[in-house]
Amino acid sequence: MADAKNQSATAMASLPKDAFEPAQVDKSEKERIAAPALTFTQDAMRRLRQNKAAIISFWILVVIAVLAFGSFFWSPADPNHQNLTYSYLPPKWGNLNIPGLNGWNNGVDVYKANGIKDGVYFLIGTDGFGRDMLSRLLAGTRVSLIIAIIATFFDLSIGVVYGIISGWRGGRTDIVMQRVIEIISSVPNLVVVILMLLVFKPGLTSIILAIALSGWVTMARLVRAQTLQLKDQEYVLAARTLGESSVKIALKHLVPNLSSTIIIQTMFTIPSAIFFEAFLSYIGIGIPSPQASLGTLLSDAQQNLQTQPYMLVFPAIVIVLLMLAFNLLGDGLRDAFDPRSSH
Amino acid sequence: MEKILEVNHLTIDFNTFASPVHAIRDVSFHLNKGETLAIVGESGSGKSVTMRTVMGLLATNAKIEAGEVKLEGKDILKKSEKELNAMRGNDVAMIFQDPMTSLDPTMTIGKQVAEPLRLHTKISQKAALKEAVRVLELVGIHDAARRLKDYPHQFSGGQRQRIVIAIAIINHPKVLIADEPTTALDVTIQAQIIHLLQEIQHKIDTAIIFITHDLGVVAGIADRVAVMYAGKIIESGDVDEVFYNPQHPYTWGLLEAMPTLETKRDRLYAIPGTPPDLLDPPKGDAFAPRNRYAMKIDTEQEPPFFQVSKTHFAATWLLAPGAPTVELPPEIVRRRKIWAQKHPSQEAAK
Amino acid sequence: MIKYILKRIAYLILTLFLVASITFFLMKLLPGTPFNNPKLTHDQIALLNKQYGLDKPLWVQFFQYIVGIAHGDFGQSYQYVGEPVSTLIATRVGPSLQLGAQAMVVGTILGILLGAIAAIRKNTWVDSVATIFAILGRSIPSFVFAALLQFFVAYKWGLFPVALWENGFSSSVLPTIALAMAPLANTARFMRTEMVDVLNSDYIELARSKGDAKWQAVAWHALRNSMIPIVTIIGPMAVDLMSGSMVVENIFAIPGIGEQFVKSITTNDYPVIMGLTIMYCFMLTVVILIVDILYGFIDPRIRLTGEAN
Repeated sequence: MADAKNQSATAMASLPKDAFEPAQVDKSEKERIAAPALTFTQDAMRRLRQNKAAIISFWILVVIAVLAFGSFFWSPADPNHQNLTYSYLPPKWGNLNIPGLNGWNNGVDVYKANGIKDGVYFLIGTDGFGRDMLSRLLAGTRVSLIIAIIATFFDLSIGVVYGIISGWRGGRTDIVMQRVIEIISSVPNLVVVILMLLVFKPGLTSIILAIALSGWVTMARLVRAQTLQLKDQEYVLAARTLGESSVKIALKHLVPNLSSTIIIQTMFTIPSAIFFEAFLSYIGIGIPSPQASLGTLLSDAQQNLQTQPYMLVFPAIVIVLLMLAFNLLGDGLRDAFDPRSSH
Repeated sequence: MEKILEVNHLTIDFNTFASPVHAIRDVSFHLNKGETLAIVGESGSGKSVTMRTVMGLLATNAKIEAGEVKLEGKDILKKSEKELNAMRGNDVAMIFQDPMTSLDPTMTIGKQVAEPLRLHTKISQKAALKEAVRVLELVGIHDAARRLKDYPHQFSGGQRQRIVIAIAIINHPKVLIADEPTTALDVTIQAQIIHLLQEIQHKIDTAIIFITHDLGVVAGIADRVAVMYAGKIIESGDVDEVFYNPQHPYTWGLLEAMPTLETKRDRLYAIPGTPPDLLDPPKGDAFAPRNRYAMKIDTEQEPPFFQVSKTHFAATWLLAPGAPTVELPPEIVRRRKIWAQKHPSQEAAK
Repeated sequence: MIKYILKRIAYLILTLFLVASITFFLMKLLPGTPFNNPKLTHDQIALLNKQYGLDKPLWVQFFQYIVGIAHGDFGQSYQYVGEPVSTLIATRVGPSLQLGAQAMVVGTILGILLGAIAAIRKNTWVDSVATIFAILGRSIPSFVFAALLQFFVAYKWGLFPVALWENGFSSSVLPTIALAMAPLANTARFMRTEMVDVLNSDYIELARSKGDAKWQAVAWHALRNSMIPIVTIIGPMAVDLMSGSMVVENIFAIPGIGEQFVKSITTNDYPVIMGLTIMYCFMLTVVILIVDILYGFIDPRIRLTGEAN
């Protein structure tokens, strides 16, 4: 601070005459808020858009979904049409000579060896029954997605309703409902699904039902915990004092506040439902043949792994992409809606 | 008096996504051996950042643009990480704001208190624990020997702050930085902790930098006071000078906002507006938009330091020669009167 | 403490009883009998029914079944006639437990390392690589991963046995890796979040201000505090391992209970399915109980009392 004097002396020399006139201070500037106000959702969406991995995942899911559901209207071939002349043909992309995509397998040009006509080729090969794998993959992805989405929808509905009732009613209802959850969760999910599948007849509906009935516990727990918190919030108390009915409060105040939890959990439930379907079909109690699903495709591929490894590649890529994309999108949503959880 | 710590022209920017935030703007102060310096300012004024610099613990996105921080004549900004580790907890120690979160929840307090000793000296664990007991007794933890194996959650907030103090003083640091050590505590405990700090200062002869936003706490403990606003020191002086002969309108505002026994008004004064956005600091004096006494020059040019006495400086154009005499707020008039009584020989500054 | 453990054990027994009852009645709901082989005569079926106690009223069967379980008797397999379910489980539980334990240990240790490194080197390429690794581990189904391992590492490169349980430890390597992916990914993700939190905490700053170098603050304060909560995800990870083991054992043809479970499902061997279901629940509840007790020991903030939930 020794040089403070010098500093002031130099500054002083250049002072204009009106320097000490009172300043005109713009009062409105004092309370100006720098950034425009964003609602919570807008803010979350802004954060989500900055998350590249989540955005890419979203578009990957869109592309897979469009292709899979589009194959309902247009597919390269009938996914269940058998033609034994075309049995076990490896992938071939026209006359492209890329290893793995040129019709060779185990050092043999399979197309030539089997006397397949020029111009007939299968982009990702055929299975033992000569069925076009691409059509099967598209149809299988569609089945897996349908199962996952419907099962998740029911799973969430049960979970949300159970969680809200348990948290909102509290007291003895809550205790009993929580005990039930504890018992259910002490049985591995998969065992519950398998037991249910033994009781129901295997098929699309029973898989959906089994997954939905066994998967709601996590959702119920999350929703209950948050309901307990929300219940004590001022605005919910206010609504109660005003005499609003419980159902109305739940719809008007709880569900909107629970929505981010529900959305995020959905993103994590779908991949686990996809996994369950694949798993069940894989061990042979899921989708019955000849219908395709990711699980049956993988299971077929596993049985022929040592001779026809190409059969595993594409279904594996699709299931990994689906799981990856849902997980990354879920992570992105969670970080966007709950900034505290990310760093 | 011997200067133990000297901070000269410290300038620090924080890199953010938008643009650098000018967190510290040309801050200079010094600390004499054995004295207590209070640094006062509201949240975001830069007091904690300054202290983190002194500890060598700045966040990775902070960039020191200029300045030096000399501890016993050596610039710590030039020290290697190894030298800094040897300095921290030994020459300079720190007491944190929230005792509920500043202790490791899963380590016994004995080990935590002994840790600085183990780090900086070649003492055995047993001897270190013995010393820990002594220091814990010193800071007022009763029956410390028996409580060495207890965990932080078994202590109250006030006791935990005593433990944090014990950790800070076990190596008899030359500089003790107390970062709002009483803010998170009950009022009755605040007084005890302040008393304890004073006692310890006498016992181990350390210099203390006391950071606070509460001027009321300052009066009882500080020898000198520096007031910070928007990353700058705007007034500094002996505690009496700042309390009874304040020069900067921001200091006036702080003093007016402080309740005293003599306060007769039914409402406390509040400084209007909010601190400036340091991403885009205003031209001229950063305090001008909130300043009742702002003059044209304040909006154009930053005020330099004007010397009031040998120890008293303030950065306000009101002290410039030729500046108009302003009508002081009643609280400041009252304080100036006390100043005049205390120092009859000197003429109170305008 | 003892009161707490006793209470938990009582609760465990109640849970197992309920699970056993539910499984029992579910199985009774199933259409037909296991002996609907057209080659069997009426008398033979009656004899078999008698041998398996299926001619008695439902409640007697139920009572006998529960009493049997209490004595470790889960009935007899339909598939391997005359073979008690308990013997079947006992001979097959070893490989499964070994694989599960190996996968859990390998997965959590590597996961902790990976998560800790990612957190310490937050927002660098190291962090990105670790995160990608963890997300891949979470997204690749264990059976796909197991199949890939089997094809490349065992079949193509011949580094480990392709299948079966005949070469001691080396037989267990690939299935262990396949199973360890899930716990590894979960632990790494969890550890990173915890560690980032802890590294930002006041007590780490205090440790640094004591003079701890960065690695010392990590080694003495951050690691332990971030690792303690990992105990809470051991339960869910054990569940993953159980389901994972069913396919992984199947792919590698390992004579474990997972492989047996799948086999019993395809052959409608209800007594074995019931026995294994109860066995799985038993193992899971015991793991959770041990984890809870362990948590009380390693986290000084938790005090186990009879009141604890």
